[in-house]
Amino acid sequence: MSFVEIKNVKKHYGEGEARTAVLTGVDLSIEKGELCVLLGPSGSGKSTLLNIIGGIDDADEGYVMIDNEKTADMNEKRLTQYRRNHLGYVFQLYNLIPNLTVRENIEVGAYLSKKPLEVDSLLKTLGLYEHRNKLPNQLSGGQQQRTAIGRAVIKNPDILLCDEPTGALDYNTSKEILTLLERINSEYGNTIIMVTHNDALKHMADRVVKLRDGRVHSNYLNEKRMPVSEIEW
Amino acid sequence: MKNPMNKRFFRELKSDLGKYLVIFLFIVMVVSVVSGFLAANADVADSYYGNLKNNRVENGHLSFNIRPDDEIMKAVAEKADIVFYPADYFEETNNGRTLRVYTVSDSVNIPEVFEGRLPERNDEIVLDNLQSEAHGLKIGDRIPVDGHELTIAGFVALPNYRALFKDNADLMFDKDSFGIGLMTEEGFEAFSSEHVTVNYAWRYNTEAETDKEKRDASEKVLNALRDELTEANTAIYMRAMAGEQGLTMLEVTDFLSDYENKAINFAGEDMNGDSAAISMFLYIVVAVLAFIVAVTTINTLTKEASVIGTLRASGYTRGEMVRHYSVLPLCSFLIGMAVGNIIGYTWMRDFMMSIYRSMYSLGNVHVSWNREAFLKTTLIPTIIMIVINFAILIWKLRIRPLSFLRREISGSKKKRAMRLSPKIPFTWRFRIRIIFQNMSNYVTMMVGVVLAGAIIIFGLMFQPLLNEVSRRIMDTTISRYQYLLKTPEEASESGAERFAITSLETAREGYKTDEVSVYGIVKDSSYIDREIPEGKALVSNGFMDKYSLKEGDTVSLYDKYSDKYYDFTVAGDYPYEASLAVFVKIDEFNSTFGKTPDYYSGYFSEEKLESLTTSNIYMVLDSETMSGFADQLWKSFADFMGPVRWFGVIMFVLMVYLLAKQVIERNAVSISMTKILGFTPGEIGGLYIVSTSIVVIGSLFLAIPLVDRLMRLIFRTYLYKRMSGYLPYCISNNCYINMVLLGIGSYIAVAALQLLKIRRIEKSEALKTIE
Repeated sequence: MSFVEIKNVKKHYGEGEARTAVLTGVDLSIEKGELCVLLGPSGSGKSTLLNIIGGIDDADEGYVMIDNEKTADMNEKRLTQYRRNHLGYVFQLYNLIPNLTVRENIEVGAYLSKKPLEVDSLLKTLGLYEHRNKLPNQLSGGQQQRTAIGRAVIKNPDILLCDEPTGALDYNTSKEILTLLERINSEYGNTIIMVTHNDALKHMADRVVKLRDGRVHSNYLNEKRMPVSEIEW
Repeated sequence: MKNPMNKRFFRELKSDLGKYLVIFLFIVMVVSVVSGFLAANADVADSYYGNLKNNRVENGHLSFNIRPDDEIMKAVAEKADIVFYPADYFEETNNGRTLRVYTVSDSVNIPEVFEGRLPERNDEIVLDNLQSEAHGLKIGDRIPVDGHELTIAGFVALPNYRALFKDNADLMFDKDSFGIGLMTEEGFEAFSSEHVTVNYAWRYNTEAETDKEKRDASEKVLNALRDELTEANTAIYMRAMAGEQGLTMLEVTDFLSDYENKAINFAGEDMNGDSAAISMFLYIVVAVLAFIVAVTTINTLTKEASVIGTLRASGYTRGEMVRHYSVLPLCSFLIGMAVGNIIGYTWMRDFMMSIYRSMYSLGNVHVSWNREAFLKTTLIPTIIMIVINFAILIWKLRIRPLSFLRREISGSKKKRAMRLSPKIPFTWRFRIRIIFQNMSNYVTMMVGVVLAGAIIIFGLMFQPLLNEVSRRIMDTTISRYQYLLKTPEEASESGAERFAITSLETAREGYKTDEVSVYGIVKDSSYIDREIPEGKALVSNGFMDKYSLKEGDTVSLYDKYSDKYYDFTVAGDYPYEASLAVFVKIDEFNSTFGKTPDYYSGYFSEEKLESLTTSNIYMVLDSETMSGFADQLWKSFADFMGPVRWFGVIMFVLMVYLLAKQVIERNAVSISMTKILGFTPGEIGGLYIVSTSIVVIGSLFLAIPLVDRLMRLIFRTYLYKRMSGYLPYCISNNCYINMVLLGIGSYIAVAALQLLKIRRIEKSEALKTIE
């Protein structure tokens, strides 16, 4: 049994004429510690699948099983506890708390964990130590996203879910962020599932899953991951 | 590890100080007023009830036209198991002020010395302590009484004159033109006995506790009195028939039990009634405030939707979020409550006490801690606040994290944009959309404006209402003078018209007992200009209105002296506002009440009737005196009404400021964007401030019919049942005009602050937060 098992997941939005099938039967397995990149054009269902894996959206049919636990069987309270203990989220928009400093924003994540990582050490890993006392509006986009990643990573989650984490960033900053994720994956061994529409990023992944029209179009393992520094787009 | 989110609180407080300050000030204001009032009320009530018991307040009193034989009084006392105490008095009227003078008693109605001492010499007098404030009198002053100069030895509080009602039928006490004095027995006897009213107070040997026991005990006295009176008058009649001259029938001119005596009970009932009403007022205001706070919190949730979504997605529980977002508003509320209580129990209590002291003759009041008042002003409002806020927050945060991330937090499906005709100018379409987009703020604002409007109207309405009452009394007066006689006597003046009169009581369930004057009117009366149909009665319009009577209804009135009910069929209303009255034909009056066919007991007249024997005149009612009660009533209310009005205005300003501020903050990004597009702050104000202005002004106008209905309801379901007498429901249009003007005037200040806020929004706001 894989660490993440996704079986026949279907999802639609809207009703009647407005009904749109987003996922039409997704089967997928991801192993522990893998860096999985979900690729696909807009509307292919990548973010919806990520949200279902993260338990913040429901599947109409099928199930997601993480470490032998089906998320569909959990009630809202249990699901919250599950996310608290096992998942970390990074979004395209950083969603930082504006009146907390960088350090405090990261501590917001640490508070959720019984065994969080050491904050100062992570700040150094993120390259944010010097900015730790700044408020989000004093940071660049890249620094803000690094803070958001720090907030997700500090609790050392089993799975880090990243939804277009570089979507709002320029090329150099995007590279910085991706390098950071690559480093986190190898340093802390978290499973990372990253949604992106940037095809070039398939090279940094262990597993590449391409979605098209709500189905898995292709799913393969890279024989060798390419370091982010060598990827161009 | 402490929740790092807690570090937000101080920063949030600093950045949104205005909002939390308003919540704080609002609650300080309301709680200090209410707790001050309740604390003063409780202390005064303690003193009031304690004094009634300790100072042996009478259980009733009765007056006679002549002094009865001791045997009669003894027989009544035995039959009714009571003790009579002589309590004669005389009245001295000087410059329109009447002083009723008794002797000092140590058995009943014992005075509590508030200042100075009791009279010791025959030329000394003590006055009720309201005289000191009302007329600037002090110990040692000499006052003229019936040709004598008396020295004021002290000021006292009397248990039987807590409120200075000259007559129990008066609608309101009259501390300005009526007062009580006490003298030594010898001093009292030095005055002419011609004006002395033969009066006895009584106390039951077995104390009556409940209302029913009091009524039964009083009934027993009345029955015993009836028996003895019948026997005594039969004997007098027989002696008269036997030819004995100069005999007068013994008549009871006044009989009043303690449970009906306004001078004793009014203050207590007023305190109890006020206490319940003001507690209810506090709860309503707190509930409105709780909704306002909830609206501001919902705005914060909207602003921070994506952060909340991220935190929820990361594993923060709904409970943690609810607690986090309720801490600051609840802390502002609780600190406000604590400060409000401190002010309430210190300065405000003294202030409220001074208002009570200006109305009622109170003795020494001891300040004490009142647990009940504290619970009423703290526990219940806190529960209201917490329940409303938690309920709304839990309801709002029930939304799944994904919806927060997508900023879909209205709870409903995405609505289509409302279609607005392109014919409507752009700026007006913009404003209409602002109003609909901020509907929850504006609906709360409307409710608050109506509530504040009601408070302002309450503070404004009584002076014009009482002026109107005064005018109506003058306009509907039957004659300039009404002479009430002890026995029928021919008047030689040509304009004098006879009438018969008696006083009965209403007996309507749920209403306080009202005294009703029943008039017997002569045929073709020059004063009552409407024909009274045979076998029916005209009823004064106030009586009709207060008891919702209509033509054809039967009014049942009770005569406590004969224990009989009399029914009158309503033929229509008659415009007469001076008292509750029923008009029947005089022959029907005489047959109904067992009088001789030629009986009458008074005169209507436009001029003074000099031909009547002064000692035979029981009372003269003139139209000025009757209309003067409105002035007394206003004097009793005036101290309260000014603060009430300004309380309403302040509440209006704070609430409109808070909600208008929310509208601007909620639209900060749009405002910033319009600035980027080149709109000036003035033009933006024209969009956002005008939208809020439309709602505020619209609400003020909407408040007019709503407040009217609310006040009408209060009059009909509360005031009419709690008060004896009649106060017509009429709110002068000027009150509404003043309310709207006060509202608009104070809103201008709020609008100026809003414009400042718009000016402060930076263009970078839109660029910084656009996602």
